[in-house]
Amino acid sequence: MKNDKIRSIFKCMIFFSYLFFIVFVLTAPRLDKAQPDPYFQLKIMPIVYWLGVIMSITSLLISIFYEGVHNSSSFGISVLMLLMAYTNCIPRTMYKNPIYTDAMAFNYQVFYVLKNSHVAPGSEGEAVPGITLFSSMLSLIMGIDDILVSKIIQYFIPFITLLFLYLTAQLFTGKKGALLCGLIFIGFNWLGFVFNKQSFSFVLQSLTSYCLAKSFLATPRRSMYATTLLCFVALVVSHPASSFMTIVNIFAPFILSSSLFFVLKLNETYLRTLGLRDANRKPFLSTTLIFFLIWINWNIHQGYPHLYDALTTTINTLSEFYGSPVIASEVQGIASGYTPAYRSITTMRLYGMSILSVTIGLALAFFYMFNKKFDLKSIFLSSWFLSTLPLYLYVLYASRWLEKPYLYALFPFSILLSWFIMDFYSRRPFTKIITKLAKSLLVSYCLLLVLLLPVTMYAHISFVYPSTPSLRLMDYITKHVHGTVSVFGGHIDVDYFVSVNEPSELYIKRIYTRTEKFDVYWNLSSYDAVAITFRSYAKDAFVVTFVPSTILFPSLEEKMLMKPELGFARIYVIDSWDILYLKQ
Amino acid sequence: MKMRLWYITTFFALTFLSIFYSNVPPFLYFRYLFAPLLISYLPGLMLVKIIFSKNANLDPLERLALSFGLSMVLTILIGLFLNYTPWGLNLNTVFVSLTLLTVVVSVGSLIADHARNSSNNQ
Repeated sequence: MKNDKIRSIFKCMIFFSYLFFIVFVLTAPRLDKAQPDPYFQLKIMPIVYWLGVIMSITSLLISIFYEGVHNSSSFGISVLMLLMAYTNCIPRTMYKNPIYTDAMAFNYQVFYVLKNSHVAPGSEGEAVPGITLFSSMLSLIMGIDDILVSKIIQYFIPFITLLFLYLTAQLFTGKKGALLCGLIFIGFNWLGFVFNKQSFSFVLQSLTSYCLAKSFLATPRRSMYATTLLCFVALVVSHPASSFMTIVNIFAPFILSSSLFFVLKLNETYLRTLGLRDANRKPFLSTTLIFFLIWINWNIHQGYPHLYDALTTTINTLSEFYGSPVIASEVQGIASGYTPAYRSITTMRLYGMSILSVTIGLALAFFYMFNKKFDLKSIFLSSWFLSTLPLYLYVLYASRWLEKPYLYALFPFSILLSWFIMDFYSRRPFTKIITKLAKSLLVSYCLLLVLLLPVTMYAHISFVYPSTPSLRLMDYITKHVHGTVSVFGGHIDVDYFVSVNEPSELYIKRIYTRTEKFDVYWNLSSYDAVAITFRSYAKDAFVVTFVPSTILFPSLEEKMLMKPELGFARIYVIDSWDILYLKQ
Repeated sequence: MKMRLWYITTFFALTFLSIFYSNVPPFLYFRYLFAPLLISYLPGLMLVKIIFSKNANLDPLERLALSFGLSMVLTILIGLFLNYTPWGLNLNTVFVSLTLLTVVVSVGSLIADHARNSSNNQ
């Protein structure tokens, strides 16, 4: 009787989840209507959006914690996807200037391929061509421009990632645990997925991780192993840093199991008590070696012909995570530009949630290593999580870069947590009251976590938004300047203004406006004019202001425009931050 | 098996027509329907059919996910190959290479199926 009632409620919830979603899609603010405000989701989403989110979470929790509600996992996974669409996908395609600073660079790469049929030589797109190639091919075959394809990819990435997370979690926790894992992942993934190389590689990384877990922990091994190698090649091509993390993740079980066995073999009695059985460590080592060879080969192909250089690349790749004093000082410079209200939110999100998840993950990893029988699953998952921990040392150095280790750790962390919770419920070691209390606490926690997402998801990312002087400059160029013009957009991020080998080459991006018509190339000397509109977009908790970027402009002027061999001269100055240079 | 061949042929014919001859609505929407399947689903689906037999320990959801994932992988590798050719990436080369890849993988899957069936019959 009780089960029938719950089943009816569940069906009702599912129905309303879909109904609210349809109503939301029909009534939501149209694309490109949301202002560049980090809290736009909180401000403009209609009530059906919030109702839909609550319905989706509740129906998911019912299907996870009540037996016999439904037999198939298809309902659960579809609701999980619905929740991902609510929290991650749709909002990302809604705001007015849809391209984040990071995404702009990759938009430009796709734009270059569509125009020139090849990836821009010497560019970041050549070093990590995965996202550029896939997006360009999708763009060509669908007949859409680079802007639209970046929006489509932002639907594609979270869904596929979630699907592989679900499948990987299923190997450890079963179907219900996998649903819970998906919910935890959505709740903790406050970074979201942007149109950039790392978000894209995250799909391939989750695919590779799933194939690895499947080939090591389940059958069939050989065919899955071949698939894993193929996936890893694509991952290396898409983001060498992520693929290096995968190598570390695979090497970690080998190291961990070896050291554990070494330590535990000192005490034979303890070993017998645990019922320890030898995990097969050979595949881990051989896979690590093969993966490392593929990785090194790609680096050599990228222009590192000697082993010494390849090793230097390894160190450089690692230093991408651990940073350098130069980057740290720039990050501190950027951080000091934020207003106090913004900084407090950033701190809460970056430090609070990350430290919480790391601490829980660490405890669970040790719990599964020492409190359970030593099986391959425990060693695999625990070491997978633990291998991402060293990256967290970087938190103490520059908080902005916390995003990377957080993303890498989130995948195993979600599985660990859901595994633990499902274990907790299956054993039921406590009294009924405590179990009920724990259940209600968990429900409130999940609700709070997922409902917080739309409120705080974008608080850590700067939106690109051209200021009025920038638009005036663009207007002047349209009316008075003939020939090819390079426009440097203004925002706070320094990542994509990197000098390549030649001093005359610079990573160039377009300022994003719908009216922009200018051609962009790589080599500045081939331009007739160069416009710069360096103006940062600063965010308070609820206020948007533009401030001149004190970091970017001097460095660019010093590096590029003051070089006499380029032959540029200032011609039009709106103010000290919006300048047009023409060739003399 | 023959039916699968017909499905694939029909799909390519429709995709070809939608990509090259329907650039205005409402026919344009056929392009939006077929083109993503060509790039993000079909190559992987056929590869999964080659690599994993029907008896393999994979449920339908795993096959679906792997089809999407492997299609992405194959597309990236095809794109990388095209990038190093003098023709580069344009609509013709992308369509031809993806079609060729899918046809080759489909024929491979048919052969693999045939081999598995004949070994099962014996």
